Amino acid sequence: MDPKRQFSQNLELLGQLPSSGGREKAVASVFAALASRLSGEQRALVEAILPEWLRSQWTRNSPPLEQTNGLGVVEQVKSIGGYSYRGAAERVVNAVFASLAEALDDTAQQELGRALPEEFRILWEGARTCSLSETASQYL
Amino acid sequence: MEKEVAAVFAATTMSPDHLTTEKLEGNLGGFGSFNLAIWAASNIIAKEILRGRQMKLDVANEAYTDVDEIARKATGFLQQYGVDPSNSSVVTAALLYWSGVNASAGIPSPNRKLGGVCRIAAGAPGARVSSLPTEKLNNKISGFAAVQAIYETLRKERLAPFDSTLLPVGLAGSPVLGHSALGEDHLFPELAKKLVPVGVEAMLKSYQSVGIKPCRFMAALFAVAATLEIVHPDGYVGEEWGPFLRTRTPDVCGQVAVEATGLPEVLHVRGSGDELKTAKVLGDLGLILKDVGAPTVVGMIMFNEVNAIIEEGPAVGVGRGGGPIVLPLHHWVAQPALILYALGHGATEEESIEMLQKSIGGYFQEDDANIAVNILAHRAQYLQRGPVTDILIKATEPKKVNALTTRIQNAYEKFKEGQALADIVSSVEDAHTAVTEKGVARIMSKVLDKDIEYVKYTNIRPGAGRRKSPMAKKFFAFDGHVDVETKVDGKIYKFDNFLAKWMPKIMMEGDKENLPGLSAVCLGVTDLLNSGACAADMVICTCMAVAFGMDPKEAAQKVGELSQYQLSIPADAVFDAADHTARIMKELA
Repeated sequence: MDPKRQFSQNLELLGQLPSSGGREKAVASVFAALASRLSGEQRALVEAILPEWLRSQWTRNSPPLEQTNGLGVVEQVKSIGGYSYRGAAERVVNAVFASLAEALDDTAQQELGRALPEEFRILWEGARTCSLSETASQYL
Repeated sequence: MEKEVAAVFAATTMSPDHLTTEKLEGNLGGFGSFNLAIWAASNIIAKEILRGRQMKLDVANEAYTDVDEIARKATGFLQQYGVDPSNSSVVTAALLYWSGVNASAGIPSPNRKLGGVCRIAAGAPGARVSSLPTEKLNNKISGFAAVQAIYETLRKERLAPFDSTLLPVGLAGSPVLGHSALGEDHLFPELAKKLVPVGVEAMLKSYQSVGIKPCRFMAALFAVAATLEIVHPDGYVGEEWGPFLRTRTPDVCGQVAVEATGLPEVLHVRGSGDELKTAKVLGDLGLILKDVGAPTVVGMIMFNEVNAIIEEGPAVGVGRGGGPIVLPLHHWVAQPALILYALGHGATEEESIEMLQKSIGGYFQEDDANIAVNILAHRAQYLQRGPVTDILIKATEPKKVNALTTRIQNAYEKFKEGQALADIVSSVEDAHTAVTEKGVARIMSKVLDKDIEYVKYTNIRPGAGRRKSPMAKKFFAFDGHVDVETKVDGKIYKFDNFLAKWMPKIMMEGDKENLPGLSAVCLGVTDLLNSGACAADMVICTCMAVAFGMDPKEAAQKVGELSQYQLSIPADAVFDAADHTARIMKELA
């Protein structure tokens, strides 16, 4: 399957996001929260690791620098995305990261992990274990 | 605080039963309805969620999982309050599903299906879709419609994409067919694509034939369930339908059902903004229904009202208890189901409260809806305390107190001014009607996508003239008279004696010209008819009359006579509250 379509399908399943608008909002929220914690150089590094078809979303959702507003990652995603409860924001972060992990090879996954600030890295490492292929064994 | 205000506040709130005309105690034997037990059982499930139990069906190598144990607790509790085993099974399955438990997992063994887990936990017998009734929408039908049509089709033509007489000996039931391209890519999806629409069409036609507005959601569920009785119910399918291991025949059936019914592809959970893939919900709930036992009509009413956490609700045929009308209290279960959804999906207590409060914004009578939820939550606490009812009380108590104190203060001032009881009751009912009128115009404009400029309900009283019985002339519910006027998209519609004359006239004559007006006003009339569910206004008038010196029995009788519609059926609670008011006033004197 086309990787972009695979990403979208995974995101739909993992994030409970059947609408394209919902998926777009999810990616935008997570990217905006991540970008707000990175310097210009770090943002460029992440952009280079991302699959080509995700780069325009990354640049589109990179706010001016240092706008975390003191919120934690999940709270920030909740605020940016307008999610009504923290669990929804957590689900979205997990789904975006797990789907992204599936779209990257091992090397790129590790590179991205190194490029992320610590708060995000913990979430990234956790989400990698929740991708569709990683969790297939639970069905057998 | 004036002692009259204190006495009336105390008397009306000392028991949740005092704020409604409904016989809530009668609910506890399982006769006619059992929603109070469901509210209480939700607490049992919530406690397990908060204990960190594994709220998932999985392939653990254990005889019983956490879900089995929770299902046993919940169904056992429900049955203590007279709930039929199959009814306890279907409702528990729905509550667990919305809490986040998946509908099925595994391959034998173990092969766990939520409907089956709940049926076994409940000790209910297995049954077939042909004996499953729909919920009652005045009339009702059953899954027999879908099953009969499907078997008629099977009799007339071969639906399998190959001639099964050519299958080699010994292949039946084998993975060579069931776990290969032949079964997964061809047989199962092909059968689903052909059988589900047959079931849907049969259900919709049967609904129409008996005078029920065809219910797309239920038609879809029954068609999916009937199909899964035939097609391998958790077979894998080709990856054009979705990722391997996560996509099975119920998902295919659900997708076909969405196309066959024209349901929206995405639904939403009330108050949360969460999206639901309709096909997944239909596939999961259809699978549950197939396995859940033999629920009765009441069980299916409750099942569908649990599902009313779906925001699109009545527009797609999923329950009515989520709004916009204040239903009789024994129908309400969407609220505890919503809190279970919230807790099961990681919402905090405050977030759950916000979700509930947001969902109440969808009622014509928001204050009354808030009070109704509060009544049921308090009442359910008598059976079983717990997180769900705690949250619902926290969410509704402040607004209830505000609404009641405002109404009590208003009544006090009117009595203090020396206004006659008849004038007070009349002005209170007029104010209540005005709230419904505003709510109808606002909400129905969105629902119908029309500009409803105003709705007026006037001359509301018992005795429309259709029935001769004294009871019908006394109580609004039995032969209610109401004149209606509305302006929809610039056109004025006037319907005098709506229930006895215009409503039947428009429907019997198929009068499409007046249909837009009818559609705009109908739910508001329903709301008027259901007003006794939250009878706070009339109870307050009665109690304040007592506080100002009237005999309780006389006050209850007088207000009953003066009330044009809010006391639409006889109610003991009014006298009870009045009696307590007198006793409290004596103490405060």
